[in-house]
This record gives sequence, C-alpha cells and structure tokens, in this order.
Amino acid sequence: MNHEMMLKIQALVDGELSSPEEEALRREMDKRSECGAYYRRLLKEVERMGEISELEHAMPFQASFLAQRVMQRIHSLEDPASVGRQGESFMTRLHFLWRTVLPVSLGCLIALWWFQPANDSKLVTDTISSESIKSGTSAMGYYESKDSSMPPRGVISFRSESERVSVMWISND
Amino acid sequence: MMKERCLEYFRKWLHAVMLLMCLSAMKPVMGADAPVTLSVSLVCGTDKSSPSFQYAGPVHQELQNKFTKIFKWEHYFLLTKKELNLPLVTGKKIRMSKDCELIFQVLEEGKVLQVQLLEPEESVRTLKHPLEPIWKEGELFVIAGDNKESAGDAWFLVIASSEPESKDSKESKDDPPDKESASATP
Repeated sequence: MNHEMMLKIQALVDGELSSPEEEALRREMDKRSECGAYYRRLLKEVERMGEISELEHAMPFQASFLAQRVMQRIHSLEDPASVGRQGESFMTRLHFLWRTVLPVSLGCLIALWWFQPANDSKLVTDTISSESIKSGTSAMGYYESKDSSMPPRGVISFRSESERVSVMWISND
Repeated sequence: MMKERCLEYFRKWLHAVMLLMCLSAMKPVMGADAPVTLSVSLVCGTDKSSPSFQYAGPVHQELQNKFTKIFKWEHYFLLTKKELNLPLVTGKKIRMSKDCELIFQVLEEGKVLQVQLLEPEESVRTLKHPLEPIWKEGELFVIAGDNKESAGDAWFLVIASSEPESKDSKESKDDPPDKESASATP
C-alpha cells in the first residue's frame, strides 16, 4: 500500500471524499486486503478518540491576564458606565464620603445628643429631712438670702404626691 | 442601574431624616420665645369661719379640698389672684399685697421657675422649682409661711398653670385692688 492510498483512506475516515471517489476507493480496498485492514484500524482509533473527553488546557498566566484585559476592554466599549466604577478617582471617593458617610455620622451625633438623659437629678422631689431644715435646702429647691446680716431662715419643702402639690414652707424661726 | 437608584433613594431618605432631626433638636430653642402663663394666688389659711380681714372670697373648692388634706387649717380665703404672662427670657415683677412682692423668672431654657420674694426687710428669698410639672402636668407649687399679722394663720402663694376658661378666671374678675386686700405678710 503506497502513501497515496493511505492518504485516501484517511480522507475516507474523515469524510472528506465525495460519493464517486468514495465508491472508487471502496472498490480498490476490496481488491487489497491490506487497505481494508488499515481502514478498519483507523475506524477503531476514531472510536477511541470519541470516548476520551477533551482535556482542559490551563492557560499560561500571561495569556489569562491578557485575556482578562481584552475582555475588560470589550466590556467597557459595550457599557461605558463600567469605566467610572473601575477607574474610581479621589474625587469620586470624596463625593461618596460627602454624600453618605458625613450625613450618617452627623445623624448619629445628633441622635446621641438628643437622646441623652436629662440632667434634672438635682430637681427630683424628696421628702422632708432634718438636713433640709438645718441647711435650708431641699431636693426640690433651695433658697438663698442676699442679705448677709440676716440670720438664715429655714425653708422646709415637702410634697403631697396624692394631691400633686409641692410646698415650700418659709419658717420665721 | 437598580443599585444606583437604590443608593440615590437611600441618600435622599437619609437627608430627610437628618433634616427632621435638626428641626427636632431646634425645638427647645424655637419654643424659647413662647411665654408661660401662670396664675398666682395669695391665699390665707385660718381656722376662723369669718375672718376680720378683707378677702375676695373662698378659694375654689378643688383647692380647698387639697389644702384641707395637706394643711391643718379649716378655711382658706382668696386674697389676690393675678395672671402672669412670663416670657422665657426675662423676668417679671408682681405685687400681691402691700408686703408681698415677687419676681418670677424662667431659667435653664424653660426648665426651672425661679421665684424671688422681696421682703420688707429688703432681703430676698430665692426659690426654684421645675417648671414642667406646673406648666404641663397641672401641679401646684405653693410657697407658704406663718402670717405675722394674724397669729395662728398662714399665708399661701399658689402658683399654677393658668386656665383661661376655668372657674378660676371668673374669680379673678372679682379680685380687689391690692390696697384693699388684707395684708398677709410673708
């Protein structure tokens, strides 16, 4: 079997021959047994090739990076909005800080100031006590005499919770 | 696109919340000029059913009931009653009787009521009380003492929130001038 015959049989297996050429080749293969044996061997190899899945070839690093850059460029041409996202500048970040972070921070500060407990502890009502008689002060209020020559007078304060009346009694003693 | 819209809506909502909080924070300042209206009554407590001094009339029944439960005297008579429009910034002086002059002032951004009693001996007593229980919750703030003019009796300064449409306002129309009222010397 010469080289030309082998090429024709390979073309037959690949389906590259026309119908008349295929018929002529089959007539010649019937005459020569070695051509038939070669044809059947090629068919078996094709079947084995069909059973094996195609292997994934890992791209070299440079090639995958290049592929990524190429795809990015393609996407940027298709979607111009994505260009700004990827190429975020200092002004864009500053704009984001101004519009989002600053209002949130100020809101938190104002909320902390607004909801802080009132500093009215010194004005909480209290019952009468001996100290309040002596000192003239009470948890409800206090008195002060601007006339230092006068002896301090006692102020007794008490409260009726049931009647909701707060009383400051000025004692003349 | 949706993400950008959501971000934009979120920013607008945040700005609206910020604005509301700023306006709420300004509430104490914005309300600073609103005057506080109080009624100040000078009352005399005694055990005598027919006192010798001149008085406008018995106190309101509600006040009578309260004082009866708190103090020992049986009868309480209204000597003078005044309505007081008190601005939050400046003080105001009123005279309840010939011996009783008061200066009212609201301090600490409307939280504290300061009452200064100007006594005949040129001394000043300064008393302070939280304003909110009086102004918003209808409580009474009473400054009291023994009546020097009449032994066994007592004087009371009743400070309360003013109710223009209540019976108290009708009583105030019958208040005598200061010179005619009995002296209840604090």
